Amino acid sequence: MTISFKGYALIGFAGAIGLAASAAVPTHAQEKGAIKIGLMLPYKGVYAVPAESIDRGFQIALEEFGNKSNGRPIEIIRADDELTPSVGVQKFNKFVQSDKVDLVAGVVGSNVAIAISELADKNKMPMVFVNAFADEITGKFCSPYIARTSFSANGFEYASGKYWAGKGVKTAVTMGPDYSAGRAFIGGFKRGFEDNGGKVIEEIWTPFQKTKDYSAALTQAANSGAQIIYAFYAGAEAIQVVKQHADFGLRTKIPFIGDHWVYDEALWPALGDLALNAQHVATHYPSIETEVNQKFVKAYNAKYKQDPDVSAALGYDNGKAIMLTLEKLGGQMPEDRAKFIATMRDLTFDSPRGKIKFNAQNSALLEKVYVVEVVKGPDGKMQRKPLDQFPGAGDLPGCTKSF
Amino acid sequence: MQPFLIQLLNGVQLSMLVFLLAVGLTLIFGLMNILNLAHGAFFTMGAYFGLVVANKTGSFWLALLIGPLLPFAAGFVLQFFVLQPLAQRGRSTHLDLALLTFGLLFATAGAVEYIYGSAFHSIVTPDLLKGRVALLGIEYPIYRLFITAVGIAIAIALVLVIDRTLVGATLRAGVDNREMVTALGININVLFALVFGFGSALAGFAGVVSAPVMSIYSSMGIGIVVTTFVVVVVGGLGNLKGSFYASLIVGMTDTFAQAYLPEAELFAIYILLIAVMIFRPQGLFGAVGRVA
Repeated sequence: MTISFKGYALIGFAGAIGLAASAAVPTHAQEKGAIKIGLMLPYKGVYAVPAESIDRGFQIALEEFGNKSNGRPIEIIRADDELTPSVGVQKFNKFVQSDKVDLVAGVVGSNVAIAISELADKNKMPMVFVNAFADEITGKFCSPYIARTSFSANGFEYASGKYWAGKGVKTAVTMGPDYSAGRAFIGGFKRGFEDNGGKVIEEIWTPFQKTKDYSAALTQAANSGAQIIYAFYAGAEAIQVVKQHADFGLRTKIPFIGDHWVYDEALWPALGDLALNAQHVATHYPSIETEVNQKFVKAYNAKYKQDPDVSAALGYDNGKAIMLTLEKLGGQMPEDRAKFIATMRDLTFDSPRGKIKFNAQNSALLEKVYVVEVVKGPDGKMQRKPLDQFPGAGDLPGCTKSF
Repeated sequence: MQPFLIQLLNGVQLSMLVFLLAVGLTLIFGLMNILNLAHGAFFTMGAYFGLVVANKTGSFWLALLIGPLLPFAAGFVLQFFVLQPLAQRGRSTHLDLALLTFGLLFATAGAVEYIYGSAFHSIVTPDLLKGRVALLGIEYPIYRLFITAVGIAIAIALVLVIDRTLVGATLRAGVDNREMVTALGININVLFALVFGFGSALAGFAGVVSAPVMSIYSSMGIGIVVTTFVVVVVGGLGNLKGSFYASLIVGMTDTFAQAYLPEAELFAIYILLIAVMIFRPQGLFGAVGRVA
């Protein structure tokens, strides 16, 4: 005990000196230094693969600007939130108190994002979320210090529910991990599907990060009599559920429809042929034929020797939105940091996914959602064939103080 | 009725997988009184080593045979060169060992991630066990029946070995009266290290067996530790038959909660754990004094 007490005392002492030192530095010298961005991602565990892709995409965006804004170098400080709210809070406090970052980027888990959003608001620290799709993050928990560069669960899934209902699917059973993002995504699908004449017969929730065997859930789904299973899963969970769906011979009985996280490129090596002929909705895939996307895919390939997955594209947008905002602000973090987010809100830019615009709740809107099928290309490798596209839906209301 | 029977089958299959994982742990705990949190690490090691073998040879069966050898060696070394000397120096309270093995669990996950990255892998189901059989009006995957059969076979084999063979008798004697066994000229340290290795090999075996159904990734071993400990506690510490029944209870609880009461699934087995701790702390099947 004595040792750790001394340790704390020492840390406190060092912190005090650091504080005094930073206070003594004149402001103009600070402006000349690097712009520090805290990048918080779940680098380990079930979302390790998407986290790595986001990090890579983020770097590609920064490199496009030469890792500088108005002559000031950009410094990335990384932290692993372990997909756990308490850890995220701890790391966020470290960013603010000891790293003294100018803004925080990243965050995948909505559970972590909700815990952090209040802190960002209280500390007046700009927080630019990369994923964190749960609607309430830019709804109930919105703040003038928070923005999201991807989309909300409702924006993506409401439109998807509407699309499948319009395609003659009358009944569906939903499956998803029982946590905030799972609830938000499946909830969005259900609203869109049922508002347009479909019916969700049964909702099946599996414990997040705990479920390994989906046989019970899949048996329930197969016996529900629905036309499709609509699911939201990612990472290790997606592989297990897709494999087990196939094991039970359900591919011909009740298709397992999901989004680009269920059939993520990163999972193809583990899924093998099971990803083949799967139809899913996507916000990005490498062969989108726009100039911006092809440039991004080329840069990504040059650096990492592989095609970017959707997470890489989202990481890229996160980095690009930040860099464009800094550019507009002349490479300075304004005194009133809410101005940073307000400037970002007024941005419009072309991203690999399509045109990015923000709404009044500081959440980016989806210009397009693609419907694709995974097929074998002429080179024998798997690729995506576009089938259809539709515009994304708006966000759920509920924000009272975004500006 | 038919969906219910299918769920019953699913439950048995999950139970057997849980049993394969927990039985090694209960052996080690019962015989050596070691709280081995590194069990998940051996699960991971077995799966990855099996994956390496499967990728090299293309054979699931070789992977199943060779995969558990690495966790066996690692378990043997851990007990013989680390835990045993610690015990001799009197540093073997439950807390000491829990901390040590807990560290080992995370170190293994970190090392695996360093070598293989954070990607997901899988071993292909062998041709012999591919496909499905018509059962109760639905098609049931043969591989899942295989898991069930393997679990039952291992349970029977273990009971026979421990109850009916000389090795089993020596083990039981070693637990009851260690000094006496040593006096009879048996090297108890080697025997215990072998058992530790064997328990670890079973965890590795479970890792390979589960690979075609689930995915292999660096932190796969961390999540299973809690479930296996629930089984060991509910079954009675070190009680082999108890852990078999407890696996069935835990597997069934999990499956039926997932099917019929999904809201309760997350805490169903913990309620079971708490109830057992309050009313029968020696475990549901733990006759006091009887180990292994």
